[in-house]
This record gives sequence, C-alpha cells and structure tokens, in this order.
Amino acid sequence: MEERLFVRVDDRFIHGQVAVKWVRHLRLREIWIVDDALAKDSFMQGVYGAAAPPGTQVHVVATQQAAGSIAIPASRASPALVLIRSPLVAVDLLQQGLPFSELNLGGLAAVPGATRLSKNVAVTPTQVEALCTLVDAGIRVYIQMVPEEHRIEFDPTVAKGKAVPMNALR
Amino acid sequence: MQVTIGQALLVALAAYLGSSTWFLGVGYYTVYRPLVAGTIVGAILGDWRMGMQLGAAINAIYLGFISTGGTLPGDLIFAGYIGTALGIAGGLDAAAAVALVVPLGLLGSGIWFFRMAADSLFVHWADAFARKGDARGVGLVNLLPGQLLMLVLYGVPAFLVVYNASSGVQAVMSLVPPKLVEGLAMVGGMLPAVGIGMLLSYVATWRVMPFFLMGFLAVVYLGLPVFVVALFGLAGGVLHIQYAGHLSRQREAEAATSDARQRESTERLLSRNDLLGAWFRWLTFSHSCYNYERMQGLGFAHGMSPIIRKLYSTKEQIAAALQRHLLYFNTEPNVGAVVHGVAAAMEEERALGNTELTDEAINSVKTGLMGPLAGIGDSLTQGLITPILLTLGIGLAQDGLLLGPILYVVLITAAIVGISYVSWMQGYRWGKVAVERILRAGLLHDIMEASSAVAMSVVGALTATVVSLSTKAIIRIGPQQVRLQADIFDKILKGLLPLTLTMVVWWLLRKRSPLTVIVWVFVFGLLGTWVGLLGW
Repeated sequence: MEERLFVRVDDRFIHGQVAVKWVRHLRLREIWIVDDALAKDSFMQGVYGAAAPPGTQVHVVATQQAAGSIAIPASRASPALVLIRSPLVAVDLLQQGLPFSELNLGGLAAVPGATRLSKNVAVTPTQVEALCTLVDAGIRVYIQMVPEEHRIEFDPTVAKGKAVPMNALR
Repeated sequence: MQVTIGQALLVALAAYLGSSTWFLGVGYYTVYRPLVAGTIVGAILGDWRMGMQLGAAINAIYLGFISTGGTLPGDLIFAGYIGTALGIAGGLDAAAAVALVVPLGLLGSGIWFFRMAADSLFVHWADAFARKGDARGVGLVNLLPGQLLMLVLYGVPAFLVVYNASSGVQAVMSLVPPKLVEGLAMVGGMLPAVGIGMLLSYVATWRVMPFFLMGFLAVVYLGLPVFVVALFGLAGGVLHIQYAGHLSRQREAEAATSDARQRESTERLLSRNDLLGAWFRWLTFSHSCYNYERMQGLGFAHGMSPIIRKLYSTKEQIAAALQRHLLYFNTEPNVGAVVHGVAAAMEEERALGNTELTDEAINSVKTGLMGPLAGIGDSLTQGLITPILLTLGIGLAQDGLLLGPILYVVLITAAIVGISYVSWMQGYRWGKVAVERILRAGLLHDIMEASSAVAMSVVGALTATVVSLSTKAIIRIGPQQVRLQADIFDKILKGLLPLTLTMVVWWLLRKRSPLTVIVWVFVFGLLGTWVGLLGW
C-alpha cells in the first residue's frame, strides 16, 4: 500500500469486511472513525472499540477535529485506516489538509434518490458532486469492497450520466 | 458410470437444498460445504465413501472461504455438488477432480450475483404487503420467490451437467494428453495451499503462528491424527490466554462501570412463544431473500412478524412496524442475532408507551450495531469455528470415516444455533446494553484468541496432510546421481516443499487476488510437470 492513510467510505464503519479482511491485509493498528454523530455517542464508541480485532485501536473523532487528531503513521508498512460515512466528509478532510491521495468506496447502502455505482455502492447526487470535487483535486477515487476484489475506478462522467435515480428503476 | 435420470434429479435437488434456507440457519455451514455435499452426492450415486473423500479434498481448497457482506470467491454449490458428481461419474481421482472443480466454482459465482440482484426486485413485493399491514404476506415473499429462483438457478445446470457427466468427462479427458492429466493431478495437490493460505491471511498473527508449526510437525514426524493435534492446540491455547490474559481483565474492568444499566421497564407483553417464534424465524430465514438493495432487510421484517402481530392491533400500526423493519440491514446473523433481540425489546417498550423510541431511534440502534457485530461475528463463526471444525471433519473423512462429515455437522450446528439463541435472548433481555455485555466481557476475546491457537494447530496439521508437491529432478554431481527429493529435501525436513508452497502462497495472497494466485499455481504445476521438474 502506497499511502499512510487509507481512507474508506463505508456507512457500516467496522464490520466483517473490515475486521476480517482489511485489518489483516493492510496490517492495521489504528482505525480512525470520523463521524459527528458517533463522536457524541459514548455507548456506540464503546461498541466499536470492543468490536475491533485484538491489536487494533479504534478512535472516534468529530469531523472538525479530524486533521488535528489523526496521527499519521511513521511507516507506510502499517497505514492507518480512516473510516467515513459519506464522500462529503472526505471533501472536508481534504480542505483540512489531511494528507491522502486515494479514496476507497467500500459500502454505501441505497437510500431513496441514490444511484447505484456498483452492487454495494449507491450515491446521491450530492455525493456524486463531492466525489467529482475530489477527483478534480487529484484524488484517485475507486470502488473496492474487499482486498481480493479488483479496483473499479470511479469515472465522474459515467457517474453523472447515470442520473436515473433508484426509484425510477422499480 | 452412467448417471440415471433419477440420480441426476436427486443431485439437482440436493444442489438447490444446499443453498436453500430450510436448515435452521445452519445450511450455509453444513450442506453448503463440499465435505457434506460430497458425501450426499456420493450416497446418491452409490459410493458415499468416494464422494466423501472427493468432497473433503475439494473442501480443502475452500477452507479460507469467508463470505462477508455478500462477497463470494467461487461458488461452493458448483464446486461441491456438481464437482463431486463429475468426479464420481467420470471416474477421476481426487487430485484431478480438485483441479477441475476450481474453474467450475468460478463459473458458478455468477449465479450468486444474479440471485442477489434479482432478489432486490422481490423486496418491493414485500413493501406492498407491508403497506397493507399483511405480516404473513411479507413472510411469504421472504420464503417463496427467492427460493424458487434458486431452485431453477442451481437445479437446472446441476441436472444438465450431472446427467451428461460420464460421457462429458470422458469426452473431455480423451482430448487431454496424458502428460497434462499428470500435470492436473500435480495442480490438484498444490491447490489446497491456496485455501490454507487464504485462511492464514485472515487468522494468522505472529502470536499464534508457533501453533501452526507445531501442528505441521506433529503430523509429519509424529503421525498424530488431526483430532489429537486439535486437542494439543486447545491445551496450548488455554495456556496462551492465561499468559496473555491481562488484556481481557483490563476490558472487564472497563465493562464493570456500565453493567448496572438495563432495560427500564420490567413489564412484559411478549410471551416465551413469541420470542422463540421470532428467534427461530431470524435464525432460519435471515438470508432467504438476500439481496443487494436491502441485504437481510426482508429477513429481519419476517423475523419480527410474530412480535409485531402480538404487540399491535390496528392495520396502520402493523404496516408501520413492518415497514420500519424492512429497511436495509446487514450483519453476521448469529452473533448479530443480538440486534434482532434488541429490536424485539424496543418494539415491546414502544408498545408499552415509550415515546422516545421513534422509527428513527429504532433504526439508528439497528444500523449502528449491525456493523461492529458483523465484524466480531464473521471473525468468530466464519473465520475460526467453521475452519477448525471443517479441518477435523476433512481429516477424519480422508481416513474414510463417515464420522468426519457427521461430527462436523453435529458440532457446527450446536455451535451456530447455540450462539444465535444466546445472543438473541441476551439482546431481548438486556436491550442494547447486551451488546456491551457480550463484547466487553473479555471472554469473547479470550475465546477468539484460544480458537486461533486451535485453528493454527489444525491448519498446520492439514497442510501436512492435504498439500502435496514433490520434484523428480535428479542432479548429477560427477559420477553421482542425487535425487533432489529423496536425498536432499526429505533429509532436511519432510514436507519441506508443501510447507514452502503454502508459505509462498500465503505471502502472494497479500499482494494478489486469490484468482491470480490460482492461475499461477496452474501454470507452475502444469509447466513444472511438463518439463519433468515436478513429479513423483
């Protein structure tokens, strides 16, 4: 892995794909969840902390405190995982100056009005806007649920073209 | 042998049932696995022993098979049911059958994706029943259309392939030059290294790697049965957590602070039967209509239906309750059963007049908990318990003992049903505090650490028994001929090549996808045999 921060959009944060596969694949020791709702919920913080695999530390920070709090690992051999709920948070992180050049789209459940980009990733028009902003800023955005899958590059033109929302397909 | 129409139909039905929802939620752990599938197909085709041994060999490749969030590397129904039938009907030996099964499994993986996509449509039928407040209708949609689709998707190809198996396999094998058959057998012996490598990449840590080495050596040099190795692993694992136990004691101290809280009201509306009914439906049908749009959403609502019918009387209330549980939901269903129990408790409190439990509040508890519980659940059930018990079963089956698959089925069923029941009832009794109790008890982490030790021991033992690789190269040093295998490798360490292969594959899997590594194994095995480097 080329980066010290592996930033992943996943609305379930830590679950099987992360705990079983990514943690080992990336040799993770630190997981940072950047989420405002979770930062206020001490019960759920405890649950995430306890659910992390042995040997990994989970930290929860609010979006505004993210860049100031996240410790950049010294070595690329063991990057830190940054989990966010939506691409919009990634734009925030970028503006705060958090150093990352790739964004992993791992899992976004379909909500009304969302467009499906792959079987596990559905994005709303605002999220597509955010992703395009990131691509324009030079971030490589790709879809990859688990390490053994191939990466699918996010293509802004295709995503904008897919303007058919989920509801229309029913 | 010639397969009759009746036998082909039975194999087709078994192939569907292997992926169906009718086995108390343990189908995925039992009849879905090639070890069990092979035994069933063998019995249908008149040779259970051969079927069982083929199934055991095939299952070794898929030892690292962990499906998370609906991702499947290869299809075990095609590999197990169709693969064993082809092997028996075509008269193939285990190694050659194993090599043919891998492409078959890949072919089948498309079916899974098609099914997950098609089931997304049925969910909208369930939405329509929910709007009418028809809980039974929601349950029926969960059970029927998706399952009928699976019957067609698996039954038809299984019947066609198996019915034409003997002529088909013979036709294919007659085209293949003998040298290539030899190469395929070599590849078949190497492929289990991929399954073991995948499992290692999920389970192995440096803390428990010594157990792998001990398991390997115990088989190669002491000739111990896998079952005995597992017991040594267990003893070592218990010692291991006693020395490393400070971690969990620290967690217990943290947990003590929150143990005092529990559900606020003591009044109960739900009877024991309502609870059992809901748990049973969740256990059995959570994945009946698994789909990309809502994942287990329909299964969740179906499971809640007895609770909803008991707590609410008006059509509007029932409709609203069904609709709030039809939303997206995805977790590991057994440890995650606690969420279903928590949801039942929340519905009960809401019916008792707790106005804080709005639709949004209930949903946010569900969606908040489903992720972390899937993380711990997948690690425990799919990542540890299943491969440990499978390895035991495979070991016994390879010795020709029917006890292998039977013991596996009994133990895994007890483990899964037990975990699901305890989690669900804890969730109902304690509300969301149950999750904290389960996760923070420290016991779970100790169990997982000890299980990794057992897993590493048995996987080390399995490496020694199922992975095979040998060279027939002869080096000439002056007038002397030195056989590389017998005179050098076996003198250093028996099983040196299989062990090295497994370690190399494990390392490759860090960088490459399993599919790529499998292709490399094929190329290396076939080329190596062709040029005379590999052989017996």
